[in-house]
Amino acid sequence: MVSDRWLRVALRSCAVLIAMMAVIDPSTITSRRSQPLVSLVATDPLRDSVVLRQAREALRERFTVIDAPLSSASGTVVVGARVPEDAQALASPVVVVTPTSAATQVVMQRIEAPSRALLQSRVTVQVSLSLSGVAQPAAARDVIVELAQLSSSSDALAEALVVSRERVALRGDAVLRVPLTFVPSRAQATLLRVRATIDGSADTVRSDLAVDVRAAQWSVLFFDRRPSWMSTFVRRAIERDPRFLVTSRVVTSPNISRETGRAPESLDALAASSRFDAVVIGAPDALTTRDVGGIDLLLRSRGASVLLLADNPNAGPADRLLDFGGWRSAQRSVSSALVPLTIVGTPTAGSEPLRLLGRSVGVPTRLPLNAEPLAALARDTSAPAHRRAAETVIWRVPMGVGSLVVSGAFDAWRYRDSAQSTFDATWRDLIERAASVRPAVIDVQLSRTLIGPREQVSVTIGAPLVPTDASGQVSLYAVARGGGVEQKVQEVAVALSGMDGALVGGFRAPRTPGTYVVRVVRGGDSATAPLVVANGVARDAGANRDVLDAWVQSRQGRRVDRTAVGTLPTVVSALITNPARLTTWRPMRSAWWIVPFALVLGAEWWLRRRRGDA
Amino acid sequence: MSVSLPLGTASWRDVLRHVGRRLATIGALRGAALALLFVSPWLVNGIMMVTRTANARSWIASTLLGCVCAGLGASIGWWLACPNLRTSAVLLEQRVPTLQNLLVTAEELDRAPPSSQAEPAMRGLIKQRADHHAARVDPATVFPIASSVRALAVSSVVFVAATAAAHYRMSSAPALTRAGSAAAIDAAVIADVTVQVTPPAYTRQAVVTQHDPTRVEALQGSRVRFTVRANIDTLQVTTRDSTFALQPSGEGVFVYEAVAVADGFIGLAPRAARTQNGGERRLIGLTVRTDGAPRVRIVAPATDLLVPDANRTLSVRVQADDDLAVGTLRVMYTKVAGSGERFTFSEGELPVQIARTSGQAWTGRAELALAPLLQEPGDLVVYRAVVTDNRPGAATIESDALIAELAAPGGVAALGFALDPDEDRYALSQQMVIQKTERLIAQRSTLAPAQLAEQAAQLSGEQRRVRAEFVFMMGGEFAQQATGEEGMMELDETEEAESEADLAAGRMVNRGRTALLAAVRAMSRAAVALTTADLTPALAQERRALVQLQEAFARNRFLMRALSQREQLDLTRRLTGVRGGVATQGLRVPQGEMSERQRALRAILADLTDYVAAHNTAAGGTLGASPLVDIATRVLQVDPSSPVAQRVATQLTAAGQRSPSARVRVDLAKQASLDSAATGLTSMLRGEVRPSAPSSRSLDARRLQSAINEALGAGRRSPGSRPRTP
Repeated sequence: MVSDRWLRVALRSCAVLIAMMAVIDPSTITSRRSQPLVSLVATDPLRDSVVLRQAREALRERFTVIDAPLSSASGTVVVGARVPEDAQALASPVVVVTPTSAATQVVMQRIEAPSRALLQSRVTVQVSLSLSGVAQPAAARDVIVELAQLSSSSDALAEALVVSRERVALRGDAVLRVPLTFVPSRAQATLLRVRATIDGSADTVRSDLAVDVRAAQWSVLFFDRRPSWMSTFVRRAIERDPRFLVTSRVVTSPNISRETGRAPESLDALAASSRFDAVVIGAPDALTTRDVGGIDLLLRSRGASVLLLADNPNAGPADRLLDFGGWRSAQRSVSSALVPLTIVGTPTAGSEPLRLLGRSVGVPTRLPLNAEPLAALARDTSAPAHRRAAETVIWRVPMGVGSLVVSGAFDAWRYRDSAQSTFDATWRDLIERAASVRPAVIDVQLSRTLIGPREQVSVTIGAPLVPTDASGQVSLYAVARGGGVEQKVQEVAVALSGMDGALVGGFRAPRTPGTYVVRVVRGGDSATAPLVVANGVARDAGANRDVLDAWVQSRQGRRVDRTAVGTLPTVVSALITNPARLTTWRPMRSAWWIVPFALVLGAEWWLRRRRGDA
Repeated sequence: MSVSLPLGTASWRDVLRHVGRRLATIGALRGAALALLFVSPWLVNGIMMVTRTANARSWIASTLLGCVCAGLGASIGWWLACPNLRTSAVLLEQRVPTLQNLLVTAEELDRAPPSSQAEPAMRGLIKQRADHHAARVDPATVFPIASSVRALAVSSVVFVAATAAAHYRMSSAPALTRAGSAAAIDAAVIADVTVQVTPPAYTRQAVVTQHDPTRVEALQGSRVRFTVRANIDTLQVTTRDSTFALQPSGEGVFVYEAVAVADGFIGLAPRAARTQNGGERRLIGLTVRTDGAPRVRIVAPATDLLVPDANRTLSVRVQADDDLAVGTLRVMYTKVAGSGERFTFSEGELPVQIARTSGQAWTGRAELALAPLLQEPGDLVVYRAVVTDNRPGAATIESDALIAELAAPGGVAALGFALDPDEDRYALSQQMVIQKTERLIAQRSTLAPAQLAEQAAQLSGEQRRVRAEFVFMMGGEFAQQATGEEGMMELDETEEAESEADLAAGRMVNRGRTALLAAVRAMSRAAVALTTADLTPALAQERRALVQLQEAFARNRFLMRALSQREQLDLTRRLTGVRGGVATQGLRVPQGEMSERQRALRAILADLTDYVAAHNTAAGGTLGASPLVDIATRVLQVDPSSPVAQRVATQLTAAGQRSPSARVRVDLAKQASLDSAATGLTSMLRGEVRPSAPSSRSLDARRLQSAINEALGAGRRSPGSRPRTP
């Protein structure tokens, strides 16, 4: 009986004690080791889904796995063969699981394609391919390379049509450049996908790119201080090409000239407001000193591309611009009176080589420093570089932000027979190349034009020809399909960088897939750049094992093969540190204190009822 | 299946087992009959609607399907009807009441354990009586099987009839049954297209018939007959040049006939009044082959001959071939007699012995006897083979002409006497003859007399050829016979008056004509001297001839034609004028020359891309396939003769016909066809557009490059001077 009483007292005291602790809310400090957080990301989650799942299963027992980039994690496991896009947001150390197998695989090392193209031209996409995991490097494998046009009308990219296909024999010890051709059919941002597959293999490497196709024309001015056959025939070739919009002025006699369009009266007046992509000047020996001053100003302040088509070796005021020591005649071979010229670095992969002929051909006495040869005597292409420079006939020299092209093919216009010479095609290409290098008044460049939702994009604005502020904003517009009204999505802040006149900024791509336009307005000038946001953008090109290793090393990590996924917990444990953490523990903030409180009160009540007390 | 037991010998258990087997057999027969009656026709119809074919294969498939259904029905019937001993006993007792329940009792006692309450004696008695009564029962009589067999036979007949009806419907009214859905019954559908190509009569080739072709190849001039069966009112026919509506010539039959002239296509679009939308279109490419010209050549003797005498016969062998058939093969000759500027020509034909290796290749042999043809030294005969094919109005084709010449003293064969121009004719000149003569004189001491004579004879021939060129160039012979220097300088006025027309043309102006005549005479004398290997006089005459030629063709011999009457000069056509009237000329900015072909191909490529993109994104891929046939038509309209365009059109048409229900999502084969077509279109466009300029370098790179250049340039010009900044 006595013990029962004391038991009830004890129970009641416990209950009171618990209630008092609940009021007081006491705290204590403990040392604990929790399960470390590991961030698990993949560069291509769709393709590497199997490896990703294996890695997640292997890590789950010993780590808390977060399937997203997490800078506060204890470490990061990356599944993929390249450095992730958001590498700066990943926690160190980094363990990379490369999904490549021991089997032979094709590697897309590099893709070269113009970011912009005219509707009236064709786009050549150069793909550099190599093989990895080759047992016999000398043996060639058949590789099928395809260029497919993508449709992005849905959320994800879908392959619409294969527009170019090549089958090449690729050796394991060589890098092969494969040209693929795409002919744009509409003026819009066109999405393309390059695919490469070893014949008979199921593995395919893919890489997506966007080409901004514009229905624009190159604006070209022809200015002849006196009539010149060379300039005339070049102008006729350009006028027939719908890619060019030709304005011309030929001064036939003092105060009388032949004019097409609104051609300027003189070259010194041209510099003030020139919007021509290229200025072609015939008979440069007839230029006046004021003309030469205008050209100089045009080159340096307006960034123009100027072509001088000399038709005789006579000296003139323009020689001070050229800095070449005057013309001298090219040596003709004994067997032929005509001098063939080959065009250097012609961007006509897959088409016929460009070639000019001439009887009277001038070469510079001294080729200007850093002049880029554009055409040289054909017989001299295999000569050493120092000799070849002496035989250059057409060259380009950068001047200020512009560039100057000089031609010594005095009478190439006489030999335009299409069976022997590619006169028209040569000058069309040379003038288009000159026009394309002219800097835009405002140049908007995005780090990527085809990206996934919420990916980081950097924007660079070069405005060499207009004054820029120290900071500013550019606008991102969503482009409505079907020609509707654009809708402003966000403003992006840009700031002056260390580079002269360049504004840089960055932003995250919109979450909603679609086509967007980055628009920059500075005074009366504006520029745009397309931005396509889509899911499932393939980026297999540019996977460089050395870069990946260097990045992993810089993050105190390791790279493991997919066959060693099982060792991943051991590798990660060895790399990351999981120190014991002192944590403050407040026991009464847990709701579980109700349970002992109710138990002791219940027991005390039961004892009282058993004795018959109230 | 059932085996009759001899009466009076079987135990009751054997009888019950026999009854069980018989009942199971009856069940199997009835199951097969039911399956054939109710299940198979539906399945056969369904499969035929899906496959949309009615041929021998479908018959075999239908038969196999019926057998499988019958087998399944029989198995199910067997399984359901197969009784155990108790059920068999009950069923037998029901049919035979005289058994008085003995079999049921015996079966129950047989299943009961031995320790049951029944007395063994009673068991034995019941068993004995059951055996006794059971032995008198004939299961075949109690459970007759004939009715089940009759049911199966009737079902089989019904099945065959239903299958035949389905095939008949499919083959006779394919437009209705091929659609496969109720909605398609109203659609305008082309059932089939039969193309009959009748080659021209002269080819004697058989008529070729094709069913549902995507491309037809025909010889030029063939009659191509398209027979289209469709459940439509009007058939719209599109050709390369026109589009027209074709009315039916019979019930559901449309006939279009055309003569194959050039590459093209035939587009067939069904039109029906009961439906707003046109049905599935067909596109058939047309490739027209031309009848190539025959070829002929003389294979023996394959060279010109210089014969010392005419007492021989040449065996001329000829080969001829044609892509279809050789029509005629003849060997013709031309006899050339005479000398100087007086030649006579006479034509003839040799009998040819023809051996026909095949219809396309013939060989011929002709004997050319030279004796009647070559009578004087210098006479020659020119022979050639002539061939034709069977094409009406076709021109004859001649082989190279060869000659046989009776050698004159020192003569050589007159190479190139035939009509075809000989390059040597233009290479030879009087100056060359002089140089060759000079070389021969220089080599005279080292040559044997015979060798010298031979080379001199060759030179003589070349001199004659040069002379002949001038003779022919001046219009033929000079009729005036002038002898000696004096004669040449004194012209006969009568002759000159007769040649007034030539004088008016400036070809016989007196001094030039005299000089040319002197040159020809000098050449004749040189040729004679060379024939006798008298080189020095020959060289003198050759040089004299050259001087006369230079005199004859001197610049002052050119005649300027004066105006025959006073004419007013049109000054507006001369680039002259008053300077004060000239002003700056403003012209419009020229537009580039856009190729229509390029524009059309771009539009086709864009439409194809849009079609595939819409197909990939449309819910369920509900777009029809007809646009692909439209696109294929446009490709052929751009260039029907291009092999690439033909391939692209074929692929597009095939892709369009791959999903005739137009409800099927783009499958892999269709996608492959579309990809290949897009690649072909790109290759067609590739050669017509220039490549895009490469991307320009970045602004910073350009600035850096310019600064480096100027710094280096400034250093070279004047060391120590500062570079200029842009």
